[in-house]
Amino acid sequence: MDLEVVVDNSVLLARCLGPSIDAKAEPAELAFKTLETAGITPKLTESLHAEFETKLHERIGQILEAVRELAQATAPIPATGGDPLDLLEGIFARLRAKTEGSGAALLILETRISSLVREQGQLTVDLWSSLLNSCAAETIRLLAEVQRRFDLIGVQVIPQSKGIDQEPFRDVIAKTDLDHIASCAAFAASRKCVVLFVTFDGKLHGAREEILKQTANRVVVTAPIYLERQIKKQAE
Amino acid sequence: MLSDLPGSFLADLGASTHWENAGITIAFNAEVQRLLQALTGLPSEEVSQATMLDSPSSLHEIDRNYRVFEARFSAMTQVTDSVLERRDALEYYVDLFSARDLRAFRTLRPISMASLDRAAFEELSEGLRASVQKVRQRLASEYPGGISSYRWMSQEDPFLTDFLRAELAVA
Repeated sequence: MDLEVVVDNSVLLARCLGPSIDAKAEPAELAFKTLETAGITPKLTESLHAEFETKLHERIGQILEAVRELAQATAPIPATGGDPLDLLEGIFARLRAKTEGSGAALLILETRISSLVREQGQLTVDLWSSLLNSCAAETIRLLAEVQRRFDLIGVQVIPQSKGIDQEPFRDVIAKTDLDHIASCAAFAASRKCVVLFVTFDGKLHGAREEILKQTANRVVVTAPIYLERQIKKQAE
Repeated sequence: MLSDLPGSFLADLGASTHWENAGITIAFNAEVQRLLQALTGLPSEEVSQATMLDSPSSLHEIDRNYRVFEARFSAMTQVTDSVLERRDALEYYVDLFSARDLRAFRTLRPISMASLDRAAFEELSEGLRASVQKVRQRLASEYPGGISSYRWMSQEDPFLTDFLRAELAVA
């Protein structure tokens, strides 16, 4: 039976990081090397692709909204001898109270802005405004850089198969993963192939046996470190 | 800055401008390099005005290679122009449909999302994203060397690594 490999967004994100930066990046890189050696093009379901792009846009949008909020707030210019970081802490605390669900975006921005403010030393209103402008431009560059890295990985997006049925998996996996696994199952059935679903997601690994059962062994959840072994096993 | 347009709108405008410029620059540089190499047989970094003038290529070859250059570059600019058109459509929609009268159109003013039709806004934003996706796909398939050499942030940039780590944690 033919073999296809679908990679989860967790693996793609880890691949976008350098191996020296994050512990998950090394096994992710290994997975892509394994696929290259085996001559297998990594695939991505449309649902995974849409999730990657949507989440990326949402998060970048949240960061940009926070930059706009900062621009509308009073600049953190302290009285003589004061530290702008004290004021910045208060500004971010107010922003957190105001915006729900943007915790990660605010933390990323706060880390960046506080490091820029620290580098700057003495702040003026003009410097603060220019710092926010460059931060907004940097955020756009960040979005493009993540997209560039994603594009360079060379994953092929598989068109949405007909007859996607989420029901068999509804009580087995998280709602957010339903579409991805159901898409893989439909793809495996229509192509009459086995799909290896490579992920770092512990919950999906936990549901491995049930997914195998529901798909008649056609969708195999695996981790990057077992990928080479799984490919060999399927070939046998 | 005083508008309440969603952050995704800001991201769409910024990213589309970025990719449109990247598309034109990367394609132009790659096609010029290809043209110079075809005409002189030398890598583009070794080509000077003198080597160009001494090119052994016949007029027919020069004409043919230039046409290839023009066709390939124009194929890319058609895709990047579509990004420009769709961005204009979104920008003009937001500006015009939120204006009380035509005198307010194209003036700097706060724009409220409440003055716009959410469905129309989403449709135009989707169209813009789809056109950016086409530029990215074309760059990745036609100019992989160019796109891999244009690094917009270093591997160790803390803004980038913090961002990716945060996304990885929730993925």
